[in-house]
Amino acid sequence: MPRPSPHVEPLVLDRSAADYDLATVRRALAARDWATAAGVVARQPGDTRTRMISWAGEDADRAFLAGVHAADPADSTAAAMLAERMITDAWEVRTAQRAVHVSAEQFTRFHAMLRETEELLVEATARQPADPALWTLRLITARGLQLGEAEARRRYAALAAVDPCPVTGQLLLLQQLCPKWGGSLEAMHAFAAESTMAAPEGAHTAQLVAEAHFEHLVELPERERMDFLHSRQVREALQWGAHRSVLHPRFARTLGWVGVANSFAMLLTLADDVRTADQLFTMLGPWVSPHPWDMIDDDPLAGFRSVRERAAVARRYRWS
Amino acid sequence: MLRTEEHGRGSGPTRDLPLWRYGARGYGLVSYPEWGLHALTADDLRAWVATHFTRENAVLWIAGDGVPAGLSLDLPPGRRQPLPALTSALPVTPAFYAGGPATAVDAVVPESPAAIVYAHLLQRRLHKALRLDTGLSYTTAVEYAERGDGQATVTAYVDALEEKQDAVVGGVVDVLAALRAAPAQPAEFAVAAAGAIRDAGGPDAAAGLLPTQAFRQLTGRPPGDVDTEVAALRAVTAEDAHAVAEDAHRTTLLMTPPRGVEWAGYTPAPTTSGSRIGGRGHSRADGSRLHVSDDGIGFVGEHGEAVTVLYAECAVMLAHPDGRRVLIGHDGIVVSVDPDAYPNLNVDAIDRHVPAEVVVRMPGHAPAPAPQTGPLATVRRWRLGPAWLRLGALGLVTAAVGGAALAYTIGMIVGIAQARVVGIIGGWLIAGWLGRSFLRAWSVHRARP
Repeated sequence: MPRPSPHVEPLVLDRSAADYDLATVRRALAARDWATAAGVVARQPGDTRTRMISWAGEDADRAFLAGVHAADPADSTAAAMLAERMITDAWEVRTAQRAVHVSAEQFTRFHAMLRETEELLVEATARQPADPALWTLRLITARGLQLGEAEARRRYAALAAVDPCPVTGQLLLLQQLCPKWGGSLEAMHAFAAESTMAAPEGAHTAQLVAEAHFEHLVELPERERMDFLHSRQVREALQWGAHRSVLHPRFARTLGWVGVANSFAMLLTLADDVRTADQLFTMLGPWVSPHPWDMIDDDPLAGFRSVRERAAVARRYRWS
Repeated sequence: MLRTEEHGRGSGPTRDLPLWRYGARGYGLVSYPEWGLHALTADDLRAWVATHFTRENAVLWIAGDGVPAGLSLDLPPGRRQPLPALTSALPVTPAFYAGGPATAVDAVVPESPAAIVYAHLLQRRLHKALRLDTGLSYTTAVEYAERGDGQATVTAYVDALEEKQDAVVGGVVDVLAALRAAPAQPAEFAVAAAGAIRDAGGPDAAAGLLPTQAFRQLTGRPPGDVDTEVAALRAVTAEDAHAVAEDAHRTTLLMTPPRGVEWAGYTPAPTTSGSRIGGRGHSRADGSRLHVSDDGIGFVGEHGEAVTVLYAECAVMLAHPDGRRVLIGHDGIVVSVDPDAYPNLNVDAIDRHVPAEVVVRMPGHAPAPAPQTGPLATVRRWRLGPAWLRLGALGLVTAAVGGAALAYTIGMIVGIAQARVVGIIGGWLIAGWLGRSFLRAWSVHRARP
């Protein structure tokens, strides 16, 4: 007798609801209490700190962050958080559309805003070259300013030199290596597999495998997508990635874990591996990450619900 | 021999840096070939020797224990030749130009021992970041050279494979930013300073200093000696070198791969002129136009970008025997004219205005006239021939008859002319027949090869 499908409601999209520390930092920023915010960020290990800076910075008050940065240009956390906010503003101008749908004026403004951010980041990395958050953000500016793969890889190498498991940066370099940003499917899959192999078992890194397969999927013409998703090779790769990360006993529910589980849940459902997908939806309960659902639906919650439904329905059909 | 020298100094990867910084004058001239060498006469040479090969302008140096017995330099007295006037082709610095695939840095700083140590520090950082840590480049080289006017040029060169060029320029930008962000740590600074002291005070240092001493002598400055140089280098602190890094940034000119470094806050060096000239325009099929006026010559590209050389600010005009003219302005901007591309252009209109002393008649032969494919080839160049006259006359008659018919018709409609229906129909028929003949003749004419 199968377990009932995990139709937990209401769903929660807010990242800080799943993470007490992130919620604390955002509250402190809203109250313009930099000491508290910086204190919580400082005690986060490795990539968790990088991610916290990004997620707390993206909608923080820009003027407040600029003030903190101006008061102490050597504070690389403040510089990184301000840069994250500036990047978010720049991308709002560009929009997430493919390049052909973005007007020339939008691009001009977008590039000017990114250049301003990049100058800030050049100064900040010159002062504090050992801060992985700064190098992670410079992967975003490198892509937006189209500085090329060689320069992106140089920045990634600088990041990897100061953080042995830089998942956020790895996800960004994966984007750079995607065909849509001028890379190739081979380079993208190779990077995903190599990074996952190099990371400790249970690390979040295997999310790259799921992301690479999704990027591969959207590159294919409609009629080839089903064959791709149902190929043994793809299912095995996704199984391997899921068991290396989210289904591994050492998988840590640290900042970003929701995204790993969401990515695999979506990809495994699309690949009709509903048994594993169902396991992940059960594990997730109400926690939804904006990505990857934003790729298939304007409303991430609707995307999540429909795929979760499909995983559950397909499972009942098979087991009865 | 001079041609050999020209090749020796003209082929380096950093050859173009001076022309981008100074333009086509003074200190910028070393970027250019020695045009006009072929046209020099014995009299030119004698005149040059008389002004330049004098006691005030020549130094002989000998590394050894003494001057050979009986050596006497019997040079005539003369006048010390001044340094070139300082010019600039860079309205804003720090700047860059895309010349790649290699990357080069060029900065002008006050001459000082601290600047020498800074150059060593820069060399170490570039080597570590781009050779040791990342393997992006094989060669990193840094040079410190006195300019003779109290300023010195620090030039760095970093080579790169084509596919790594963007990463190399990125690394150079970061190395420069780190040098200005904070003074070097004591251990690193000590190694760089020791390198500078070793270069200045090694066993052959006294001999090595000779060319510099000669140069200082000719530019009217004290020649200095090894002990003083070494003592000055020993006194340099990390903070002194850091101050040089900040000075250097303000004057920096980067040579970069095609993508440039606008993303890092560097301003593109001008590749177009701020002004345009009027004058007669010659269009091309791609929408670009060449303008020739009494003041200068200019080219406006299809996107409206303009390059202009004013005759009064022309550094050189290369006059090729085949009619091509290449004009280079004081700012280094080049306008190149090929009369074959502009059938109505008469190069005499340009030659007339360019001062004779900047014209270099380039060697070679005028090409034989191109074989003509028949008498029509001249018609193709829009010369007035009998066919054109016939066509023109037919056009005029058509216009006159058509115009008269139209005027009479309008007159009839508004009521100021008498209504003569048969006459006006006849007029229109004649006008129509003439128009058809004209169109036929016109299309036959255009269809000719």
